[in-house]
Amino acid sequence: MGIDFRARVGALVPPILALFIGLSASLIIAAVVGESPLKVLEILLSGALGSATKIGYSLFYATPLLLTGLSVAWAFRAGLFNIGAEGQMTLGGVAMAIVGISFPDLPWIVALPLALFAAFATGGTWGAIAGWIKAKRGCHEVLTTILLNFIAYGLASFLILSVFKNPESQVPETAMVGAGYQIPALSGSLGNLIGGTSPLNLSLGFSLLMVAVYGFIFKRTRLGFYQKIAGGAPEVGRFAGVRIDQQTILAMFISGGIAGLAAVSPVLGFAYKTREGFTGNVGFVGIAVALLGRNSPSGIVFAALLFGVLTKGALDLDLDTKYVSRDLATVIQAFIVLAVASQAGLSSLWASLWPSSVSRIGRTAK
Amino acid sequence: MTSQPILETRDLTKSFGSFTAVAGVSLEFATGQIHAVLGENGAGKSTLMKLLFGLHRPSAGEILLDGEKVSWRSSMNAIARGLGMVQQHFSLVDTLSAIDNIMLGAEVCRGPSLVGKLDRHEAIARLEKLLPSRSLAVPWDALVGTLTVGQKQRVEILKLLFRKSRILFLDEPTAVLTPTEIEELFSVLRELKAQGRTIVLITHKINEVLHICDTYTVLRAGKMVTRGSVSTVTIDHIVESMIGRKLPDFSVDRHPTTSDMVLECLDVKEESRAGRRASGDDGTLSRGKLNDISLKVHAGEIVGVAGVEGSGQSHLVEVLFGLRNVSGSVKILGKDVAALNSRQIRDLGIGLVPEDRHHQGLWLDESCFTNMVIGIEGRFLRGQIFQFRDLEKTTAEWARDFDVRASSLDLPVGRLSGGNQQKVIFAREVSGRKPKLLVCHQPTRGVDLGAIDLIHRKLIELRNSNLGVLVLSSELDELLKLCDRIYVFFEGRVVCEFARASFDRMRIGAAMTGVADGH
Amino acid sequence: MKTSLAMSLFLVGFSAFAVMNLTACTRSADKGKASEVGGEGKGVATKPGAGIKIGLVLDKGGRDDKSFNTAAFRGATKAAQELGIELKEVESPDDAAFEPALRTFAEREYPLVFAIGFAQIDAVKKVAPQFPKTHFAIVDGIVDMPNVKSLMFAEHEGSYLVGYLAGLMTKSNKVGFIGGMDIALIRRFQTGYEAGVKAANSKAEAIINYVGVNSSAWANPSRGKELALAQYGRGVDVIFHAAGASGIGLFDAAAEKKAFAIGCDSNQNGIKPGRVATSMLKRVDTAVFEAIKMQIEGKFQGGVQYFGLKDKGIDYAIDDNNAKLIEPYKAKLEEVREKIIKGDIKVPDYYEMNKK
Repeated sequence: MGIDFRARVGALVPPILALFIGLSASLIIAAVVGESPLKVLEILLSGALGSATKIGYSLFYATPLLLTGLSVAWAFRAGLFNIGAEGQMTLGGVAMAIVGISFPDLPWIVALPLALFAAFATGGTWGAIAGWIKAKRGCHEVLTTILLNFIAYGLASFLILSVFKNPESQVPETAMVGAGYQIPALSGSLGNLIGGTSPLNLSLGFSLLMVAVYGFIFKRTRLGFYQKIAGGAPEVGRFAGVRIDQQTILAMFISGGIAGLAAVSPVLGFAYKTREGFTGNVGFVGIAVALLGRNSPSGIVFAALLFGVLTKGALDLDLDTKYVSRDLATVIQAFIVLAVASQAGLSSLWASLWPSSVSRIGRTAK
Repeated sequence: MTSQPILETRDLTKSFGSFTAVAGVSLEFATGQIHAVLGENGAGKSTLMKLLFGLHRPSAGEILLDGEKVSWRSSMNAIARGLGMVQQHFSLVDTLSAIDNIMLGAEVCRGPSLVGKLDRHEAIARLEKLLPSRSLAVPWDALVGTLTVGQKQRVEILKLLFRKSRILFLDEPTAVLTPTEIEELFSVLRELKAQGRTIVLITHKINEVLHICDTYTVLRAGKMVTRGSVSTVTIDHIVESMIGRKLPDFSVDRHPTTSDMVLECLDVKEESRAGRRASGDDGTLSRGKLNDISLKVHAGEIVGVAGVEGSGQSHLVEVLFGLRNVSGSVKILGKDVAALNSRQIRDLGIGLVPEDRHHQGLWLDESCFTNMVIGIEGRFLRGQIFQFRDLEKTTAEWARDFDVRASSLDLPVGRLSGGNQQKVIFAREVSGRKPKLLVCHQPTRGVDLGAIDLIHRKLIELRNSNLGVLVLSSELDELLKLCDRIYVFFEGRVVCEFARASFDRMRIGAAMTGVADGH
Repeated sequence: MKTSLAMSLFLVGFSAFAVMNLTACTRSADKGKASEVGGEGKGVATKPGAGIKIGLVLDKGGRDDKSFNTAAFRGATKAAQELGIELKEVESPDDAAFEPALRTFAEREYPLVFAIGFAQIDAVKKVAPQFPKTHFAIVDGIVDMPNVKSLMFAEHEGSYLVGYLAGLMTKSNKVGFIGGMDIALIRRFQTGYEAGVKAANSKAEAIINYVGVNSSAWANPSRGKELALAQYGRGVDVIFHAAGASGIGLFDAAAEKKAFAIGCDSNQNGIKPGRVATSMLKRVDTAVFEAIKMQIEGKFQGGVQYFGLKDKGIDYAIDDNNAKLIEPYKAKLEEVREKIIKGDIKVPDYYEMNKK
């Protein structure tokens, strides 16, 4: 019991330490360029959490991060590194728009599941291409997913600008989706109590639900079991009769599918159309979310919320400081990721504080 | 013989936190003798060696070399003072010649050291002066990658001689050798001894080693249990000290073989094109490729496959489990497996204890529970969802069948001892899968003596309950003890087949090196 | 583990990205000082706009895009220096950030907030009704609300004028046009230009190319140069661009081929002196400055305000770099300008054409 508790606390230490290191390093930089670190911190916090609307925006920014983080985490669990969430999300958004424009009159009960299904299938197919190449031809998924991103951008651009363009606007965007597809902002329905006047919408609930489903799948189901084997012990699985190549393709399909779903908040919950470049690097930040959250459901929620808060809080930096801009948020994120990456070092530091846990490992080592 | 030991330890102790790996060990290695340090995995042998070589600092106690107290600052000190070690896994550069490997790090140069010309002739001349006889020589100019395992081991020993080592430590020297090579090694060791060098063999293979040693020291759980002169001890006594209890007598208890065929391979041959599914090991030498393999396993018999490692055993296992494409026919329980995928083959009722426990057999980070359901998780699923209560109850019973000893089955299996890890695999593949055919590849490698005994008994028991068992092992003694029939593999072919009545250690050993003399 | 290599690659990339941002971060710190000039100005009491806060929400390109956003920022900075207003500007990282930025300014009771670029139309439509006492001004987009001023430009008039110049100048009877992203706004440049060319020289033919169909088309100078070289190669001797930063490539090509180029939006005559016949000016800076002035004087009104040749919101540039070059055509151009202002020449407007 004591060991278990220790291990759990131990698991919490690296991400929190990483957050601490990332934040302090960035604040030191702020101090170096002549801004009071305390003031910067205060602006960050009050900008992100200072009112119902601000909290709403923070949550709104966190929503797609939950899903892209989940997407990357799923792939990680299966031993794959999906850098293609950005492209998969882009195509997911395009798929939503295409469905929403092609069948505009569907009632929401049909429309929303249809749009979500289309986004999942499209993003998933895009991911599965990389999975298939990996399983059958052995080409590393990092390479293929990066390259597929570029193809995805081009394809999305073509569909947005040439096939489903919004005739009323000069912005590179599709026409509006039908009314049944539009997820209303929470503010309208609950009198600004939740989310204030922000575009926060029910996709947050949907995303959290997906995180919970992810947790359940990996804890309790055969699918999660096979995916974990493919990631953690592929040879064991191979000899036990698990078709690892199939699991790899499936993992990339699901990972890509989840990334496709990440478009739900920006497309169906906010713009009601798909703009070129609407993803805004959310797919890449998802990698940081998965790393910081260590692929665990609670960790992903924590990391996505944190990054949402940082994104929103940093917007006010432009306004309220002289010498730092919102780019500081990216710097903080990068420092956090670096700190997480060196977590092996942090863990051993932690282990050295609890020598007995070392000996347990030492005993079995030959 | 000599009154003063060359190397001595007094109450040597090493603790890691609350765990004591070596507890008050006092040893004496007399000059010019061969010493055996025996002990199971985890008994403290490697920690002791690391202390002697300065890789760990002792928590207490002292080390004496030539009667004088030493305190190593690093392993460089120990090596400079004449200690040398041949690791179980060789550290050689395959793409360099033997002489270059021997010189590496202690080069003989003409001219300034960095830009000077390597003087190989001088090095060879020096070496040959050191050699007790020609038997230790290797082809100096041959690339190490082309040498046999026995020759590579000699290169390692020569490296030590070249560096003027006085005490040679050999870690599990026989593990990778064929019986003939073992004999060659022993004659080399005797010659070195005659030269006055001190040799320490670290091993858990008592039978093979003991007869060339002068003294033995047994470690158990970090403590020195017993030591003495080999001439006055029985093997049973040493085994008992190593495992801390007496092993009951082992009886193979013959049992009539039925005629039901559980496995039949006919003319199994690997196509020249690399199999599509064999992406795991493209570096395998062509000598491991299967070439017209035909073999049979009946229900109720244990069939052994003997051979030097890499003679096709690993490929055969992959073929049986649908992981490698071949021509010819493989029938398991009467069904041709060519059209089946790996899962379908497994579901025919075939269990596997794979060669590489850590890589192919177990998922080390996961619990014993999890490991015991890999591949047979279906029976614990309702819908697609795991029923943990049933899973934990049932797998705990399986673990009891094989006497898995763990403080909790929730522990990551990587924290268990090698023997208990292997038992977890057996629990899964036998109690869990309830197979009709069991394939065991190196079933007792890196496993303690107690667990070996248990595994051997279980295999006999299974055979007697009419299971067909195929054992692939590089431990010839194990096969001789268990099997009803033995096939000998050499370079991917079956070179001979022996029935139990005609088992002969030396003849099988010769066949393993390609010297077949009929059946 | 195989992923560890990939992971480290990713980390290297991510850190490089971070370092880039770090430099961006500190670099903008210098600029931050500049933008505060007005607020800290001496003799505050003497300036009419002292103490009046103006908010500026820039489009994604940011204030260093050397074109549209830069022009808006320049106008606002000029107002800060000359009128003494306090300027705060923010760039928006994404589409969702326009709205909170506009709203934050409004909440802090900035009397006038600028939204630069048509991408902000939706955001202004949402925020403006919530803050009826705040004035908003949007550039290049029309939002029909009482507290919103829409600043629109008659790009076609200026394009006609430079097209006319191109028609006069060409010896090969071939002129070129390079658009940035293929959207209605740029088509408006194109149709005006073509009409001008035809009016000046009925034998002249205009070759049209666009850099691309998506927003990357605004920032691809090498593609711009490629297109320009191709056009020059086909015998074209004057090219007009409306391609943002991609247009920079045109000037390189003009210098290489010893041909002529016409700049756009800002005065680009100085980029390759002697090779740039003129630049069509779209005075976003003037429009922003004038709007601020009106706010100070209490004359700010909602509605659409058009800028054209008449009020010099649209113009063409003459300076030392092209004075000689343009001298022979200047009288004719002035005459055409007068005619357009008077309405004697009706320049085709792509927006109007498309309504039918």
